[in-house]
Amino acid sequence: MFDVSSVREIEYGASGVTYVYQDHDNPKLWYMVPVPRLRTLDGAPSFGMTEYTSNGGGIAGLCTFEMELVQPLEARRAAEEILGSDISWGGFVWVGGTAYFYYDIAGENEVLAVEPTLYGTNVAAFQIELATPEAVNSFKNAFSGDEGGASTFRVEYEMQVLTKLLGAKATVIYTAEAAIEYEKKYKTVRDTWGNQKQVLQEVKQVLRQSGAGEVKVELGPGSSDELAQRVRDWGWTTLENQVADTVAAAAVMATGPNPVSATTSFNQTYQEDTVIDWSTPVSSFMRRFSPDEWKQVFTKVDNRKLSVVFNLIGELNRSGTDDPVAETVTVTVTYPTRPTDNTFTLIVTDGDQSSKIYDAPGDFSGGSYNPEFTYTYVINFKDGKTFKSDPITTTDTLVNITPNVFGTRQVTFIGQNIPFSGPAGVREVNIDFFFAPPAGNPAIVQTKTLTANGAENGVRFDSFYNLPIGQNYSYRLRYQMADNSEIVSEPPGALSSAPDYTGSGNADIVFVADPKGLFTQFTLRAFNYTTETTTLLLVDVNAQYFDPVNNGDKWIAENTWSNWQPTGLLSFAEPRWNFQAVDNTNNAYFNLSGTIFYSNGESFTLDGYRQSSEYKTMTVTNTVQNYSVKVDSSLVDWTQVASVNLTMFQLKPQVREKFGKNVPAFLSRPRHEMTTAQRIEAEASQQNVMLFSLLGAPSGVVVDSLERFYGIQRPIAEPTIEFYYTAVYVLKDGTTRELESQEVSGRLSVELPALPPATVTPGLVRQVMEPGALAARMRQGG
Amino acid sequence: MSPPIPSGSARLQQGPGAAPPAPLPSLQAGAGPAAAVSLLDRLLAAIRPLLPPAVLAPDRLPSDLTPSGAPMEAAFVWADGEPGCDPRVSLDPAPGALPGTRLEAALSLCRAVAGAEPSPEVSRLVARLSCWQRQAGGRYGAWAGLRQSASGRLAAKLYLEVAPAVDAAGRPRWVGFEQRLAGAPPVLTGRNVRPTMLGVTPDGGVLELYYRTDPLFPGDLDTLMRRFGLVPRGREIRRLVERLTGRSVRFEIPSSDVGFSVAFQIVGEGRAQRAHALAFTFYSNAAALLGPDARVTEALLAEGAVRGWDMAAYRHALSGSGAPHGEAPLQRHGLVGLVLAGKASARVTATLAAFGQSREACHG
Repeated sequence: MFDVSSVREIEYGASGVTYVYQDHDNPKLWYMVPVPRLRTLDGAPSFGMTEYTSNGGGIAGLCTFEMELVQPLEARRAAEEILGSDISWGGFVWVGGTAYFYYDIAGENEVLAVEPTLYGTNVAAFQIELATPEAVNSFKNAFSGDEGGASTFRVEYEMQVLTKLLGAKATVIYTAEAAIEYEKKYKTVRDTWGNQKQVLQEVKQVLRQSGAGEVKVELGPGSSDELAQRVRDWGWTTLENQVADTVAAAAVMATGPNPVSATTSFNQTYQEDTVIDWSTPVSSFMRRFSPDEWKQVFTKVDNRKLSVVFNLIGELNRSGTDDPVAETVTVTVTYPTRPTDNTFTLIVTDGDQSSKIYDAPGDFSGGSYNPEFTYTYVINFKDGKTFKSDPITTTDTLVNITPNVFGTRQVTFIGQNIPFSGPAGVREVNIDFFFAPPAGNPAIVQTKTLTANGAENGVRFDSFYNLPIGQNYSYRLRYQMADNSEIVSEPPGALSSAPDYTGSGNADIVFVADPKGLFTQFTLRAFNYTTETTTLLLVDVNAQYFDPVNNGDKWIAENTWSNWQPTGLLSFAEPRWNFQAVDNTNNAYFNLSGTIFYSNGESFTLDGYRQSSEYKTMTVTNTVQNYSVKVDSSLVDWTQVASVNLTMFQLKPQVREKFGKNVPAFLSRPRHEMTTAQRIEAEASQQNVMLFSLLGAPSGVVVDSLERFYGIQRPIAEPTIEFYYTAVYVLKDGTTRELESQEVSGRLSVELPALPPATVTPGLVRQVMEPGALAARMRQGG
Repeated sequence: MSPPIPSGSARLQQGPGAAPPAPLPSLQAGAGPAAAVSLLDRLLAAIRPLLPPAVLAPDRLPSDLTPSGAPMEAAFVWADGEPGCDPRVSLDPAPGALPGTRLEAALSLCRAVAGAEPSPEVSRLVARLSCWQRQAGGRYGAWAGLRQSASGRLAAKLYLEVAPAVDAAGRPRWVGFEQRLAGAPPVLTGRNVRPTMLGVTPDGGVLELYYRTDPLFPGDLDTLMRRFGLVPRGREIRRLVERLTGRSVRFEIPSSDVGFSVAFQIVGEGRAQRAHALAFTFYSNAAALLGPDARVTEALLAEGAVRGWDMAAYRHALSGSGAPHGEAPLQRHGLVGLVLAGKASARVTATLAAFGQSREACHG
């Protein structure tokens, strides 16, 4: 494993720069960060530029090219001159990465990011639509000219590799109060939350400007300022991504406006020796083509053409080997102007032919440029089997064929700072892992055991089917403690924190941390909407935290806010409630009791209101009242069932009438499985979305029949409570069954059946509670 | 090169019910134990007799010159190897008044300092920009800037709001004026580059045009500097930002609120009049780049310590801060920036809203 504190800059050739790292244990072993280079195919540069002279269909030109990562011999020689000729070279194992193309149009800088493959030479294909003649000229000037030499445009690869944090300790801190204060002070309206990329941009600004984000780096003896900056860069990226995930999740679960105010504080310290995913950014300038070469790569045509990049991305080798998961992918495109030669092959086996730029003359038969085409692909597996996709019609100019369609997934669990020693330490960690296999394949909860920290001791779950699989998986960590007790930590289901996520996501790393002492914060907030004449006057609330699987039926922490008088539009009960607990958000919950008094003399009793600990904010308002729904899974027949995914949501008031009884079925799916149009509709119509992932047990382990709780909101003006849910059962034989589309009334609980019948029409369950039943229940509850 | 752009824009982002105006600074040199040595205090003492009563009034309205509502803002300029901090002050001569009133008040102050009427060219500029302000509904109209030479002589600068007035075709009226001044066609058309303020010395010898833009890449700054015939030095701005933030800048400069100014020397007369760009200054809202006051202070003091700047006046001004009525203080830092004049060494600038020790102090 390389030592991050040993980085050295190596200059080579006319203007090349790269970096080398020394191995932590072997001083003669070094690692060189490979540098980007334009690919060459059959002796020709993989580069093309087209200028449209008359009808560009909205654009004036197009530039496409492919890059790859290489270790130039001259860079090695330059390094060996400095480090000694007796050194040897190790190789990085990438766990993720992004390639960036930096260019400018008339002096205005732009950046385009794409995902390279994680195998072979990490090919990245770029396609840039040039909107104006000015943009075309900028590209022509950058890539051509008699003088040759380097272009002003450059490509940077930022690849992630696992290593240890050496020579420094880092703490990332998010102080929600500061972010909320900033939001209140500077902006009261936001409409961009909920989109991952936009969230990240907003989060960066909020974290910086509010002071809510902080990264502390403590350097070890002899460490350089340069290391401090690199660690700080890493820490900020880590923090920004964590907060973006939190905000995006809060936006999806939305139980009120302003999701930032529903976030809670956290801090995390990464000690020296902690395994982290380290970035290795390295860039190189592209080159100008000689006049002869330019004639080959530059064309001028009348009309716009269709140009689509087809790309295999992600890790398509079996982990730790060079054994590819398939042989080839044959793609066939249908587009009106190109009747023949529409099939081409992407080759998985060597990683070098993992992308193809398909083009065809533009179709203007309808009077304007037609960007829509259809494609199918056939995966040819090594065992001779094939899989043919359904036809896919799209206007995308970048088509990524992701590893899940090959049926491959490789998830590695790595101990980060688990105390594997001492009388109060951890003996081992059993990891229960599950995902839904392709139909017809047995579905089982696999279990493997982790006994030491570090990448070299990681535990990997591989799956290689010859049929597509979904992108989701779930897991449960069972820490076996030295005193023979057990601590269970189970994250919630992957709801939709990354709706714009387009990555391959098959070679995931899950870092496993110390099970104890997670800092937890709970926030009680109130909205007093000025549109209402009745306001919140006083709130008395007692909150308890329960984690039944780890602590039985006793609460772990408790807090009381008495006589709190909410003020203004948004206010928070102080002080915030902080405590430490096991990270078990899948099935731990908060239990809240108390009374909310209104200015009109009425009151509302929170009678054992419970909500999942995934959501660490309780919102009271003068427009809604809170109830909880108990989810009873005790009837599920775990002898036949491997996993149940239960998705629950409410509709925003303004869309209830629009949908009527025809609520779209796609609303039950994770947002990353929706189309763009569906996602937009989901964001506009859903609120309070929760996904409960119920995992069966491996052979010999009894499944705990844990209750889950879903907190719901009833508008005071609307006497009826209404919510929707759907449950997908994955059976051990690999088949799936879903609940029947139906309406249930009169209950504030959901009883999951042992097994839905195979013959029902699957769909959403609409559950309602009429005013009379609700009043009776409230009377019963006291 | 010239006083930094006032940072009143941040004030606009606050909603209704903004905090009450901050108390005025103590203008008494020697008010504190270390104050006697402060260059800023010396400047403040010199300008005090000239200040309009509205600035000193205890019940004045909050000013939109600064995020804190203070009507006065100090600017510090530091350079490696140069003593002092070249302090200067920007002020809102009539807090809360209409743009036209503030423009008149600022002009009066400039007259008082210069002891003469502004030049005819400046008067024509004032009339022109005032017309735009009336057409487009100006926000503040004008500020006044004051600085002190080594001999103790005061110099004034008038800051005029460039309002977004448009002609019959919907084209901003500033377009022709700006292009004549720049002497070259616009660049970075996708970055929403627009002039927002014009600084002018009363004799009309130096004009400084202040722009706001969408977020910029360091390379964009080179493009801007080239347009004005200046040496491209975007790399220095990138390095300063990296040092202040402690992070690498790989994409845009990490601030949502940035701008720049270009100072021009005006030579010749009539049709032969030409503008030569002297300096380019990059600005960012301090909070947008570095965060709350404590972090801005920490970053500036750390950079100053490494580069040997004289931070005494800045430290002293900071120590005068205090939250009115026990409330959390609003952001005091307005802008941070880097001044790049020709091939001269870069100079770092920061502005700080003037906060007083107490309301009573401003009566003294």
